[in-house]
Amino acid sequence: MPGTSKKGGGLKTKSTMMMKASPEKKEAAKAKAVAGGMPQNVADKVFKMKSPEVAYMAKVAGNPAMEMDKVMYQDPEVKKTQVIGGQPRPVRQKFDTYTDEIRSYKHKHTGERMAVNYLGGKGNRAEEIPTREAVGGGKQTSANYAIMKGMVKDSLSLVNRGQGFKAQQLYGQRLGGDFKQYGDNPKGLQSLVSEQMVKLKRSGVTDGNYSGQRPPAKGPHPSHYGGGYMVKDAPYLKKNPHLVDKKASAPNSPTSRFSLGYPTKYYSDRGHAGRANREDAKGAIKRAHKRARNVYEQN
Amino acid sequence: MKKTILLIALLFSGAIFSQNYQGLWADTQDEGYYLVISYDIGRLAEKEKNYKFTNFSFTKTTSIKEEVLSVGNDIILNYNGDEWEDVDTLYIKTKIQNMDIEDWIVYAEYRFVDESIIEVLYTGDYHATHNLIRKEIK
Repeated sequence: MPGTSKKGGGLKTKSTMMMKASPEKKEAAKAKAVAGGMPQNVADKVFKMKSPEVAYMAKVAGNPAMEMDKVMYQDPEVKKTQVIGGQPRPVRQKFDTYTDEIRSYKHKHTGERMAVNYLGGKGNRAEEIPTREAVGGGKQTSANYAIMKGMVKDSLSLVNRGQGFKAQQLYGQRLGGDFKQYGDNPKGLQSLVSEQMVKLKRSGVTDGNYSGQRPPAKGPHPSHYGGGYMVKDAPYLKKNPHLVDKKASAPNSPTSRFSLGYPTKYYSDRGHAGRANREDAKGAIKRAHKRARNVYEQN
Repeated sequence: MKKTILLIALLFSGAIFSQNYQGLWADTQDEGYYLVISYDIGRLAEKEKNYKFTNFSFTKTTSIKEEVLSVGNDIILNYNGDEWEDVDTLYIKTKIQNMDIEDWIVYAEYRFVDESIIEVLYTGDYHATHNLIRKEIK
């Protein structure tokens, strides 16, 4: 837990602690943090900061049993990045403590009390993305920012609900990482958004096949597809863990010596729920347009 | 006529969902801290003034003042237990002041994660992301 920091409440808030922290106290906290398991180079960087996060980090580092919460890994000094998450996954557990109780909710259908895995909690993905201020630019960039941030959040929601493959098909392997690396300026962000939209729009082929590939000409187990343009780098051509031929991929299987164990499959809209289909792609495009429209309407 | 009906429908749906912010919220990252969000449905003309944020803690007596700066539209991808759905929601931007500390100002942006969770992005003198979980009053 980040402690008693938020909103400057009380005397021992992060802000008040740091305002009154002497260099000696900072050094002592730094030594404690290193002793508690924080790497020296990280401690050097962290304790140069003037932010209230330092007090929390010192507290956490001094107590190795306390997991450092990912939500605090934002750069408070320069404020160039922020941490966002998606819809978290519910976790079945007992509710016998105060902490568990405040993180629980009643299941919509069963009425059962479920714990909510909070942002940065175990098994719950979070991404560090640039702040809107850090990207700069005008209204067009604001729209692009809203689109990209929304896509990252949607992707995280899918991942948190065990639909990582679908998330990868729709948004790539790690959209949040790409956003942070290439989207911290208006041009880079524009390129990323365009790329994502093109990827999603490829599903516009009307053969009932999200991949845009032509259906096989004949035969129950086609080894190739008939002519036409073949997309080679499309995300939907990645191997699908749900459709792995287990026999072929078994270690001692004779076929595994000659293949990777991922036989070619014809992926259709009627495929596994874990795969993205054309409707998913259309939904993603629709949300992107809505987010951009919201920006234009509200600013 | 068609446009008018659409506008009324939009206003109506917005008003219904915006009320979902109403209630008692507990911070997952700050034990013992609570936020009450009130919403007055009768003053639709000025969205910002419809909301009132009251912060309190059972263990602290600090005075926190939070005023709403703006309210805007948002859309989230939500899993309702059966299927994924697009939900039109609102985001709220506020300014927070600790009356016990001079020149300590934090800006907060509240967005729905799902119907029982809010993600709050703090910037200014405090820079972090927190989750608030809806508390039921029994």
